[in-house]
Amino acid sequence: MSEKSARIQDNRSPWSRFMSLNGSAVFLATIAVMIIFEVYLQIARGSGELMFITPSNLLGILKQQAYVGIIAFGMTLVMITGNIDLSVGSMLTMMYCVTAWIMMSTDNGLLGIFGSLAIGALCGLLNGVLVSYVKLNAFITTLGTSSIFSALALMLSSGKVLVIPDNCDPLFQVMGMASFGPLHILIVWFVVVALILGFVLSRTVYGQQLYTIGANATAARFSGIRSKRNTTIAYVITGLCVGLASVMTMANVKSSNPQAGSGKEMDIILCVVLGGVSIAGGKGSVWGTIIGVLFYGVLSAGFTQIDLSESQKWVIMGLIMVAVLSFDALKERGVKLWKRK
Amino acid sequence: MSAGTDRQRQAVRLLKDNNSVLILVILLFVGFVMVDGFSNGFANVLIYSAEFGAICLGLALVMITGNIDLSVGFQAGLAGVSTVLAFNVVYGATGNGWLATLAGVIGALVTGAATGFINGFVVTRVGVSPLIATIAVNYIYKGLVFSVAQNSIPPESTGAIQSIAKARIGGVRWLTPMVIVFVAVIALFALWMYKTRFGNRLHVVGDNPEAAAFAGINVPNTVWVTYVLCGILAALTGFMMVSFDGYAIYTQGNALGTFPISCCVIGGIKMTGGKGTAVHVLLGVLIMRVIQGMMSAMFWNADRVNLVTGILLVVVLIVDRFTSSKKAED
Amino acid sequence: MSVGKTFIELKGIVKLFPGVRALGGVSFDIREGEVHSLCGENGAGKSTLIKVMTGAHQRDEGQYLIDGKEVQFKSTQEAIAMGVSCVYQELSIAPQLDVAHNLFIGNLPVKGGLVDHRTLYAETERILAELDMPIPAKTIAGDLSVGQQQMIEIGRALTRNARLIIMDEPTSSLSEAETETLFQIIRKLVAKNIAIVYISHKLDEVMYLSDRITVIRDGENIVTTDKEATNQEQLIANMIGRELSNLYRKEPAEAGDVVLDVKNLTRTGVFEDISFQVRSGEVVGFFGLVGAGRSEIMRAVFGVDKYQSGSVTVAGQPLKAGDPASAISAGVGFCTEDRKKEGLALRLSILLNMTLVKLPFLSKAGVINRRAQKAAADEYMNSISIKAPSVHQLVGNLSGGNQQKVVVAKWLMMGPKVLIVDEPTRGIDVGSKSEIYGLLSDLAKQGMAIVVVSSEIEEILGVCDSVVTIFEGKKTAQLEINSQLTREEVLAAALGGSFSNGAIAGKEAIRDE
Repeated sequence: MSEKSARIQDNRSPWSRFMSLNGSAVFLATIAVMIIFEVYLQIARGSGELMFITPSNLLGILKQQAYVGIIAFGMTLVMITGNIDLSVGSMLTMMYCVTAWIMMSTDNGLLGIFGSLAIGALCGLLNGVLVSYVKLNAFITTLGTSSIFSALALMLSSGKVLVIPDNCDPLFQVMGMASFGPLHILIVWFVVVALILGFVLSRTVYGQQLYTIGANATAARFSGIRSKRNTTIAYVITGLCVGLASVMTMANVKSSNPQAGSGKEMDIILCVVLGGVSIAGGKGSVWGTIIGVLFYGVLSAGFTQIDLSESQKWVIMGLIMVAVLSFDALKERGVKLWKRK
Repeated sequence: MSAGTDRQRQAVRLLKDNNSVLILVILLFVGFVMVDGFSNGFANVLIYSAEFGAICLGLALVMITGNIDLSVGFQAGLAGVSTVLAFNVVYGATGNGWLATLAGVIGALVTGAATGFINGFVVTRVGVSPLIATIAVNYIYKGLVFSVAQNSIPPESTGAIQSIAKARIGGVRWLTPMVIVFVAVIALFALWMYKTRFGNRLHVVGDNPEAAAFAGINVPNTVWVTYVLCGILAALTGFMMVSFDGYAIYTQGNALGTFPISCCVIGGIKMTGGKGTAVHVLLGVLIMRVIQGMMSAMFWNADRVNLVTGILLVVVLIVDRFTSSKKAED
Repeated sequence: MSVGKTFIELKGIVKLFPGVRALGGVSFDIREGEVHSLCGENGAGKSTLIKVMTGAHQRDEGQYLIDGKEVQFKSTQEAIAMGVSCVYQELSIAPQLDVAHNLFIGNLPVKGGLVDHRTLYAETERILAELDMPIPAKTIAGDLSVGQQQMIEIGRALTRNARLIIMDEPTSSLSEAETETLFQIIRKLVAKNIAIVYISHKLDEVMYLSDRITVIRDGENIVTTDKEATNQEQLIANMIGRELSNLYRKEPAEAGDVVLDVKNLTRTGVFEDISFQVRSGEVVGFFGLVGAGRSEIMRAVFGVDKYQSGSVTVAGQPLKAGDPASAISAGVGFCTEDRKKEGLALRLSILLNMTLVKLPFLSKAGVINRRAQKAAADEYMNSISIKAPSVHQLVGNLSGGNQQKVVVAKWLMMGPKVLIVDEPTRGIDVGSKSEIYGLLSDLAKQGMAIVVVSSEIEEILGVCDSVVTIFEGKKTAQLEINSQLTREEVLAAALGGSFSNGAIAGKEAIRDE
């Protein structure tokens, strides 16, 4: 058995080895989609210069999706433990209101930043404790806390749009307005969080233990891993990510819509799964999730740039997502879509 | 294991499996006795339950087999759109409101069967995890609904089609064809799951798919059928929404959101599958509607309804967790 | 013993898998009303043969005759319809459904197209009576014991008018009493002219039950004999193809200081007032019937289960109750009984699985030193010879024996003072067994304190210095193992001293008939 698999491993071409990596299909799809958009734009209103695959356009997409990505990184940790957090959308909505409310009432940047992070962490702690210490079903529990967060958002804002004054504490403004050369600070946050959580997952004891918890919780327990604590921390990290996403977005746009985050959890989960995280846990990486987020961002921005209506965009994105997920599922099951020569 | 403890154990289990009865009785007591205006609005509780009950039942079937469908809301929305389109085609050709209503019903149910068929295919044949698969297809349904019904689209004549949801039989406010249809559907599915071989499969598949497969049950096909039924039942709610509101609009599907899941869980359907009946769905829907009825009687905002729903969901889980027989692992 | 009519005949069955000839022409026949045991090491082809018989696999060559007519099953359903049923090792019980629905799973009695509940429950009562199970038909299956659940599976075969029931390791999770009941049921079935194919690693059971025994090795049948014409030693020799002279080989080691000291440990309703000590270099066995509480005691010592009173001390350091991490840091390792469930994360690499416990020590401030991690894993890959192309291989792709070695490596890597091994050789073939015994002996010689939990008495007598016997959650004796100690003495202690009216005595009585 083992000798057989050894032979298989040795014989694999670089191509098939690449295709077996998490998110490789999505990575190729992202590039293909970028090329298709470019070709389309050239045909439609060709100018002789690159129109879609330009640094400024791609950085723009990254900036636009930075907050989705940051929350997706947190979600990656949670999903690797085999759990899920459906509350991040509502939590984000609530955090927008919280951040705006703090800034409106105190105009203290430090308080705005750390207050938001702390409250985000608390929300994550609530989810984490309910799921891991009280041992409730993660799906339904976070659905429940999602309802609670969205209700709190509405109560906090009285259903109105909260606006942070343009001349608020500069310290707060920096969080979402600064630029480092061509790199907008939102992109910097995205990269920083990706690097930190990527490092945590792949290189730290804590990160490796998360994989074990997801792959076999009982074995993790018998190996002395504190699953409850570790899982809770993953939820808290997700809450922190939501807090950060709220701070940077509010510093950037300065107004909170009480509907802004609703439904975002679906997009985020989709990004994470496209990037190779398994719903069952124990599998995936931050690098994969980056690819998932990029894919989602490129599609979303591309369809807008080729002037598709919102509804057309949803339909086509849905079809593409189903296709990619199907490809992954069939690959996982060992179904050959085509025969190699 | 003596007979006495057996009986005790069965009694405890009965109470635990049906704790939604208890919740509903308490809520009704509180509502009728302590909340002014609740009894006046009680007819609405029944009407709204009937309007949204079918979609919950559909989801419950899928959940009993241990799967999930997050696209039921827009499946209903899409069926609502089909209802209006089919109605208008037939009405334009014949001018007969009743015939057009029939066409609307057929249009809705066929659409639901089709969306359910697609969901079931992606989940059982392709093998995408149900959660993710239905998130992805939801984009498609949502886009289709939005493209046609971003603004409300009404049937060309509302008399016949609205009478399904609004006609009062014998002048009783809550006794509408819609309520009768809903009760009939619940009864039908309760009997189907109890009395037929196929209906009995759902629990087996949800409880232990390997055991089901060993016993010769075709698990993927069984799941597929429940997705189709789920689509059809969601479509029934889609039709009822058009009938009740007098138009189809994007927000109908959007507003449904996670309401069906909440109803199912509060009624006693488990995420892990293998538990619950059509009657539990009825209980869950009633509980959710009674809460909303009480809150509107007290002039509370919709946001508080969300708050109460969320807390109730968590409480139901906690109660379930601490009443279930504890495993040694602690 | 009357000789029944030949019911099933397999002639020259060949089954090929890509690159492997799993069955190379096995011939085998089953008579009505006989118990026919199938013996062989892991990987000998028993499971494949069973799967061919039940229609889960299709044969590539050969003949499969039932009542003299050739059959070609495309699914297990077709086999069941012809009377060939199998009680699987992995239980296929739906735990939330009641007994009746489990018995008639996928096969509910119908009348006029609707489920006939009256017949369903009446038939259930009848079958329960036949199986000597005094439980209500509406009992939820999840509330039953494992043994009772297994009976339900046998009952399920009866609802389908089985003529042959294949039992694959049926006693592996049964208590002694449940095993005894199973044997009685088997006798009853045989009396009704139902044939049984019995597969077990436990040769004493095989010798006790069988009418005929077939040994297969490397996908070929070696011999089919009447039970009377063979003995255990002969069977082992046939299974492994060579005489195994020294299967168990405990070399005496010098016992040092007390390392593990357990005092008055009590978990209400599970075990009571358990005290024992293990010295460095000493191997202490724990013997008792399944369900006596041996594994539960070890789980509590290690901290995965809580206990109400008592204390556990390792090298003078008291352990925190209910906290495995505390036990691990004090130097306790625990190779559990169920490696797939409790020992390994099958979807992860050998590297991570092996270094899981050691990981905090292969890191600085929580950051893993990957070179050290890889080096540590490579070292154990070589030293206990795990057969895999690299440490990055997923554990799920390894054979059972290699998986077990990964678990052992995981614990050895942390350099434990105390190593607890629970059923170390369950489901492992005879060859790997002696490797594991050798390893335990070496470790003891190096000064480790070892606890071996086992339900095989020969294993205890072979590898341990002394044995603690457990009966119904209580320690009944601690016996020095020497050449004078007999199997019967240990058994008697494990049966609470009431040897004369214990289950084994009953078994002996039946055997004498």
